[in-house]
Amino acid sequence: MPLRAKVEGPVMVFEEMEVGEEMPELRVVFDEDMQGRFLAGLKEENPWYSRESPWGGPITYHPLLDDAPMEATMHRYQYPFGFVHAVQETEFINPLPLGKPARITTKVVDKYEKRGRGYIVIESLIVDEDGLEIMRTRNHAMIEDERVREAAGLGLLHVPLSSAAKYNRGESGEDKS
Amino acid sequence: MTIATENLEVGQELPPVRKEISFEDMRLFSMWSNLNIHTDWESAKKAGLPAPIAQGLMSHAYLSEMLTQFFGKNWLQGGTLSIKFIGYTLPGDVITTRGIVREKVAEGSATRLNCDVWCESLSGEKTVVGTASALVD
Repeated sequence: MPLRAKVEGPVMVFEEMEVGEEMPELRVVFDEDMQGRFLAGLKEENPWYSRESPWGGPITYHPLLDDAPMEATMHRYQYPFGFVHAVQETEFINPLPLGKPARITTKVVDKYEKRGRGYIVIESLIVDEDGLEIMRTRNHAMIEDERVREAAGLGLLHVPLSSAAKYNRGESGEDKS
Repeated sequence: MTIATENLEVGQELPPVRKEISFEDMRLFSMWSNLNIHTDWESAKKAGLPAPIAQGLMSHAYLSEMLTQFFGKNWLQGGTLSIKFIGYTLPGDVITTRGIVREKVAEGSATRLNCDVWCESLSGEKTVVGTASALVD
C-alpha cells in the first residue's frame, strides 16, 4: 500500500499494547499508474485490474489492501512489528472500483503469547466512500521487545527470525517472514 | 477462467500459479517502502541475510491470483484466506502455488469449498501454508 509515512512516534512494546487500541484512520485511492507498477512486480496480468471486470470497469487489485493493518500501525509506531509477520487472514467482501476512494479503520483485536513470544493481532476494515464493506484483514505479528530495540539500533524496519546467528534460537517450525 | 463448481470432488487440485521472483519484482512490490530487508542489499546484510527477502504478502498475492482464477468473481465476494508464513523467498527463487479441495460445506442454498493452500519452492519446501474458501455456483 503506497502510503507509508515515516513517523517519529514511540516504538511498539508488546506489554504496553492494549486490545481495542485504534490506529489512525486512513483514506486511500489507487490510480492506474500506481496499481500498474504493483501488478508488474507480481507479473499479474488479469484484465480485471486494467480493463474490464465482471463488475464493469477495472477494479482495485485487492492484495494492495492486505497491508492495511501494518500501514495504519506505522502511522503511529516506529518498528511496529519488530518484526515477524506470522499470519495473515483476509475476508474478501466486495470489489473496489479502481480510483474509488476507500477508508481504512484499524484496531488491535487480540494479543497472545506463544512459545515465550508476544504476538499482537491487528485488524483493518476497508470500506468505500459510500460505506460498502470491501475487505476485512488481520495481521498476526510477533513483537519481541529486545529485537525491536536492536532493529532500531541497526536502522532496520524488520528483523526476521533466524536472519542471523544471534537471532537464531534453534527452534524448528518457527515463523520466518 | 472460473472452473470451480459445486460438482467438484474433494481432492480436486487447483491449477497452480508459478512465479520466478526477481529483485526488481521485490522492489516494485515494495515501491512505497524505505530501504529495508525487502528492497536493499545492505539492509539485508545488516540483518544477516544472504540477500533481500521477498515480502510475505507477495506470496499472499500469488495465492490470491490462483484462487481468483479458480473461484472467479466469487473469490472477491465471500472468499477467505488464512495463511502462515513459514519460509523465506529470495531473488531468483521460483515459487509455485498449490491448492486442494478439502471439503464441501452447505451454506444456505449454496456450497462453500474449503481448500488447503500453500506455496512451495522448486525443491518442494513449503514457504506459506494455510486455508482458503469461497462459494461456488
